[in-house]
Amino acid sequence: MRQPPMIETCGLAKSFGRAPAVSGLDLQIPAGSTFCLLGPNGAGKTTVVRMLSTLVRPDAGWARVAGHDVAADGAAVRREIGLSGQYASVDEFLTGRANLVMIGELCRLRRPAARRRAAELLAHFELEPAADRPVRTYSGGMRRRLDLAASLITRPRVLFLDEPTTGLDPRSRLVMWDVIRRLVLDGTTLLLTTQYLEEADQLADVVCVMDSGRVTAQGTPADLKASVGGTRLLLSLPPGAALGRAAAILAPHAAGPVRLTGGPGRLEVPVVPRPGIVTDVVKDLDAAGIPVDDISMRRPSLDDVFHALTGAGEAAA
Amino acid sequence: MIPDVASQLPALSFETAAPPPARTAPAWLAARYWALHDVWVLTRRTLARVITTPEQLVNVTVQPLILVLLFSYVFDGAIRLPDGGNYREYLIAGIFAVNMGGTAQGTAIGLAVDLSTGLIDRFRSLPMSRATVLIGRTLADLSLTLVAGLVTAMAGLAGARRSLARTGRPRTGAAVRLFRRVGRNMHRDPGPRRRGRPGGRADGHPAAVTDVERFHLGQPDDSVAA
Ligand SMILES: Nc1ncnc2c1ncn2[C@@H]1O[C@H](COP(=O)(O)OP(=O)(O)O)[C@@H](O)[C@H]1O
Ligand SMILES: [Mg+2]
Repeated sequence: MRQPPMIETCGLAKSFGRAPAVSGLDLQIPAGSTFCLLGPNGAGKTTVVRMLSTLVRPDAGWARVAGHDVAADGAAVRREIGLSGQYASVDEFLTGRANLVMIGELCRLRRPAARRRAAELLAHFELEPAADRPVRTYSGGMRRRLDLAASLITRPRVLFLDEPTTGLDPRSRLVMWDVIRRLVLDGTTLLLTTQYLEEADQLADVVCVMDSGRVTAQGTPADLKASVGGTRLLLSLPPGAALGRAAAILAPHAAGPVRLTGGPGRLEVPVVPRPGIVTDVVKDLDAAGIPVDDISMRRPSLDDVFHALTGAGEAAA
Repeated sequence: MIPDVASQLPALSFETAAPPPARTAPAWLAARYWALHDVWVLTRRTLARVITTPEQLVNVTVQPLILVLLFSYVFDGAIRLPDGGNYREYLIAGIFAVNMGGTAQGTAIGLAVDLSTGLIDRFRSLPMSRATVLIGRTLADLSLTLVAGLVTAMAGLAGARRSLARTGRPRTGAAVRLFRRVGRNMHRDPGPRRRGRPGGRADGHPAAVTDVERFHLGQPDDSVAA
């Protein structure tokens, strides 16, 4: 028998004033998977997370989390979820440990149990050395990890992470990614939002691209990349080079039409990757007396998907 | 190149995950018990902040003291009651009111900060009773107000004993003398000996108006030099 999805929404919508923040959202997120909402600022990601975690009421449509309706049975939903909001929401003036013990007690743990749980999580997130310092002395990465720890006090079956790495330095981001991957191994269903394509690519099973409150594309990272085409060869020829002649020479190697891109003297050739292809292309151009300044292979990235969807790529071409 | 931090971390153990709350009590009683429990936890939270940042206590200790000193010594000569009563009899009650207003303002600011940092969102996403966020904060701030009230009352009592012991000119410490001097610059108190019957000065101007004018014009103060 097929398991029902852990998170399911149908026609979910919310507007603030007259501007719709989210409109007609349909999602199905299976248990144990990592789902990523990807979109620029103002796309409506936070609004989706807030509706699913019972912080705001949807205007239309419905959503079920772990089998409970968010509007009708909010208390049951809150027992199943952990939320780590867009801004690390911990008390700056308390120590890291006191923050976790407080949340534990609010989750109805007895004090000794809350203390034990706080100690476990502090150890797990490598916060022990700073555990008894006020949080306002923490770095951004430490704050984020503490916030994540706070949302894991009761083992939630569903975890919402709203932009968990926005504003972190590259190293802290890598640490955070590892922490998140580790969580997913425990079978937690994860809904993640991000503005970073790379992050979606690294962490998500399914990516949903949002823009202005609507879903513009959804699929696995591999599917989405395939939708914008395959590998391309990017060539840069010196100014004044015979671009037309070069394109003719490149045509036999190409798997599609050769395109002029971006700056002067730049060519984009869709290719089927095979051993020696770069050598062959350079040899042929050299034989025709056309010098090459730069050559590189470009595998499709979620960036391409994003640009293709938002039209930024077309504008540049 | 990517640091493999996760694999070095100890495994997450969940032996202390939440036990289901005891179901023996009737539901309404359990709900009330947990509401009180949450209020208590959140009250402790606000009080615990005082331990990590004792500066917060300045509001409820130093500030009432300063107000008492300021209004009893510095502004004393400038404020006259219309019916000739003793202004100091109203002083402590007034400072109580100022303290209450100040703490209420602190509560409002604290809540606004919690809202903007997302802490309230976190509380509201927990399986706790939602109204207790407000109640816990209010209780904690109320207990801080009590401290302020206590300090004010003690200062008032100390001041009253001293005025009883030496009816006339109060004994003034160095700090108070400083305040007096500042105060004289501000409102040109005719001086301690003539306190109680301040009126127009030699030039015939009503004291209060001229004082304010002089203060704003920043004219040199001859009464201090005298
Ligand atoms: N509380 C609010 N009041 C008014 N408008 C809001 C509120 N929250 C979000 N919005 C608007 O809804 C849109 C989506 O916002 P949000 O969900 O925060 O986007 P994202 O998290 O993707 O950056 C934005 O245009 C934002 O201005
Ligand atoms: Mg957001």
